Amino acid sequence: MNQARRPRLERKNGKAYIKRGETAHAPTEGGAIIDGSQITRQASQKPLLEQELLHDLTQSTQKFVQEIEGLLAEHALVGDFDGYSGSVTAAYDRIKATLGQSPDIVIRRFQIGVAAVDAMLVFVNGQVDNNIVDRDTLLITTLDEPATTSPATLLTRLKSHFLAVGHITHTTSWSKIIPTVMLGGTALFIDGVREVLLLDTTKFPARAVTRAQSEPSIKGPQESFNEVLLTQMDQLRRRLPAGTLRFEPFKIGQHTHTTVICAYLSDVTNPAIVEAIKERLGGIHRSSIQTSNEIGEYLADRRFTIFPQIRFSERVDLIARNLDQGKVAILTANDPTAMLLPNTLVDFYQTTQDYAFPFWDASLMRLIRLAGLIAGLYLMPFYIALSSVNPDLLPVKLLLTIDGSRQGMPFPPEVEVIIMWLIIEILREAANRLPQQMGTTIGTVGAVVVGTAIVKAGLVDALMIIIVTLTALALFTVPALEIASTWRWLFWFFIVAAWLFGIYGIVLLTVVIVVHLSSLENFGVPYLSPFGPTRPSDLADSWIRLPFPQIRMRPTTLRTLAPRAAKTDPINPEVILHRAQTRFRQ
Amino acid sequence: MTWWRRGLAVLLLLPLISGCWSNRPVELRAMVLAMGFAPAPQNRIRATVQIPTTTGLTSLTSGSAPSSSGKLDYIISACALTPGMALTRIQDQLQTDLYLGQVQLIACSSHLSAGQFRLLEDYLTRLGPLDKTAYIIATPSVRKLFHIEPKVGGLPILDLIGGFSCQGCETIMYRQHQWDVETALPTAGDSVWMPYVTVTPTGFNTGRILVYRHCTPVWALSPHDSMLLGLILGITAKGYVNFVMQHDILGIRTLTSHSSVYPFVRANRLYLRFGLAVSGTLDSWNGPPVTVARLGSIDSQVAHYLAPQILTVLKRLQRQGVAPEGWLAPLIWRSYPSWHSPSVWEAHYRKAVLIVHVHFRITNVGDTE
Repeated sequence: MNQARRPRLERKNGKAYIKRGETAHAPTEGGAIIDGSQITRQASQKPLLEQELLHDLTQSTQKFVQEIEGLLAEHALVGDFDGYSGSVTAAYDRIKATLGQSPDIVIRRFQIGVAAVDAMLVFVNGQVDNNIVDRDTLLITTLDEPATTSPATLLTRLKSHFLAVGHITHTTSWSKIIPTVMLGGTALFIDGVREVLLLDTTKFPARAVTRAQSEPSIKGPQESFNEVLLTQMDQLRRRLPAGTLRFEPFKIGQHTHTTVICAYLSDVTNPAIVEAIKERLGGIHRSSIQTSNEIGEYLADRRFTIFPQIRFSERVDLIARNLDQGKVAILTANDPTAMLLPNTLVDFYQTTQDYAFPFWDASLMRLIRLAGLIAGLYLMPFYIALSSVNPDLLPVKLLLTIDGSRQGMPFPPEVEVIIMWLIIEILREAANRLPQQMGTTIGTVGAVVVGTAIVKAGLVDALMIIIVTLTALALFTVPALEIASTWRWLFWFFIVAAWLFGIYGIVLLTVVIVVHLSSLENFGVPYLSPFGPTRPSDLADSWIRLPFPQIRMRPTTLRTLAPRAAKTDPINPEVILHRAQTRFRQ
Repeated sequence: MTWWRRGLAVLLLLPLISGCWSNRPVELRAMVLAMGFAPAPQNRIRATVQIPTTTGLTSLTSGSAPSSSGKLDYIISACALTPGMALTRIQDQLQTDLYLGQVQLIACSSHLSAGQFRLLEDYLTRLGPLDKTAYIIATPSVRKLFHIEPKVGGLPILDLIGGFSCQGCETIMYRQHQWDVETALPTAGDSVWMPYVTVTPTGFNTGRILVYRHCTPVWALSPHDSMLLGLILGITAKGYVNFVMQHDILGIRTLTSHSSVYPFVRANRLYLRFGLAVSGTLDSWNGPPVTVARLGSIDSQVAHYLAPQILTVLKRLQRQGVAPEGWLAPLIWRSYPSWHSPSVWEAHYRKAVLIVHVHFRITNVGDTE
């Protein structure tokens, strides 16, 4: 063996480390040692190792040997390491060696029928419905089968007559048995049968369906997803009971085996988009997936752009509406946030509340959000530019006002912005971390007490407080959280541009952003659509919303299979009235 | 070079070319509201600037009256051979940056020599930071203008500026921006006109026009003549005339006009036909009751009253060699290229036949606007 690649043992902070040359440096504790035989040999060759280390190594090696023996026993019977041999004892050893260390793994051995056939149930305590398991176990143990019944027949009888759970599958592969058990299934081993029954006994601890916390709405549906994938699908099915609603599952995560569902309407959604998303989902290889965002960042066309390409939402109605529009939703197990794609910039400014209000209200709300965006993004940079770089562009009376309010201020406007924005960000973060009631208090204290104190202390001028407050409020009008941080970043870019170049810098940066937005595409959908390129029919539901009878088409940028969402001829109230009157006369 | 290296290079270079190090917050700039230029001994120019003080800014901001001890502004003067040098000397007296980007008023002494006026205009034209929309006026005494006693509520000079800014507030909309004078100067005869502001014990006396020729003041029109010139130029907003018509006193106010000039040449002689469509409100009339027929008669009488007076003003301007409109000469030159010389043009202009047609119409009777 190459000397540089030879593994060697080191101790650090009371833990043993294997150092394999210069390439591997894996911490080992308990049974995590992979190359046990080599370590044993190494240990025996190094009599100077400490006693404690030797003890750890001995324990680890014993476990490893136990694993090897289990594997070898199975291998001797089946011929490969993945197949179940049909021996409950061998399976017990193997499970005991691999899973049995954990206290939540329950291995229940018993005998079936008169013939006393050995059987074994394996499940994870807490992830299964104990009622189902106990009932089935009881039923199985009371099975009164003659001694002549073969184990295979016994299995068939069990499957068809005794087990009451909904889904039963069978397998011979350990690579399927272990993950199923880990995800709440129960494995039933019967001695002499090479097939293992996998019973769907899953019952995760689940949160109740509650109101959407991050996307509140005054009017309309309030329901939000919870963490259980099945519930998420049920909620969507209830809102979209169409037979064409497809849920295509993907297992992602080497260790987490996270189920990810790709949901779409097969008669509406562009198949090219669906295929592209499925391909990207299939290409994700990570050991762990805990949040939907971890998947979302794989799905984005441009990973380093500051603009979000995926919309996250916990609202069921929003996801259902967008599915009907021809988008694809990605549901992730253990995360109540679903993802929608592809998206345009305007999508991030639309809420389901817009559809729950009359169109005049909805349009006004959207325009206010647009005004909020412009004010939030430009108010402060313009103040910096006009008070520091281009004061000659201001009307004299306004400049006198600004000049008067800034007399005696110790810091330039740029530093004042940094101070104030830092305070706002701290308050925002503090409000997020505290319970809701205290969060409100913090906001009030921050806005009133700190703001007033700062002005009185003469650190920041009063005009700056007004502008910062307006800016912060304006940026809070963003309905989608993921784009709010985009504007917060861009806000600072604008501040720097205004500070360095004044109005010219603001204009230049705006041009750069618009150019970047124009170049962005998400699964072939232009990000600036319906404005760039112009899609006149999509303008009906963009920054304004026309009455529903006027919104007849699905977004053309999505190139759906069914572009029309409503009939072309809206109901004519006069015709209906005339018909009613005619019927009444008759 | 990879794209990110290029981007990084651009990001590093941008601040270097931005000139951001010369940016200063407004509170570090000595904001000049008005500046004036007057002749000084030894052919020098005295520059005077008016800068609001902190007290002044605060009172202006809050709208409150300044305290008795607080000064609203400070006036700084310096003399030098050139306006630029004078301003530099003013900068020497300040601890903050002399900032000319918000100059609202430029006051030129009517005693400035032609050379000094030309030097001043040349300097102002090339002064980068200067806001070219600043109003420019002529005054007999810059010192008096800047040292007028402040009134309660703010700087007097701001009232003067406010009057110019208000469209239709003044009798004659005779405001002139710096860029108006800049563009008018290169035309034939360098004939420009500016508002002529004098200081009275109660404030400013406005409503007069000072006419320059070759950068020298040649005629300070009376208020009435200024109004008539305003009618010729179409800038009179609230003109007023009254005269006796058939033993009855007649008053017309809110006089406004639309004017046109039709130049033509016959027998190598220049003819200038001025057409004025004037309208106004019948203000006072102690004659018989007003009828439609009588209104027509009044219209005719007013037109006959105005026409010779306007012609008199025009003839006086002609004698001074000043054309009422700067574009008149270029218009003639387009048809008669051989006249394309200031001296030739002036010779022809002085001998030109002036014709004035006035059409008057009463548009309102008895309103109190």
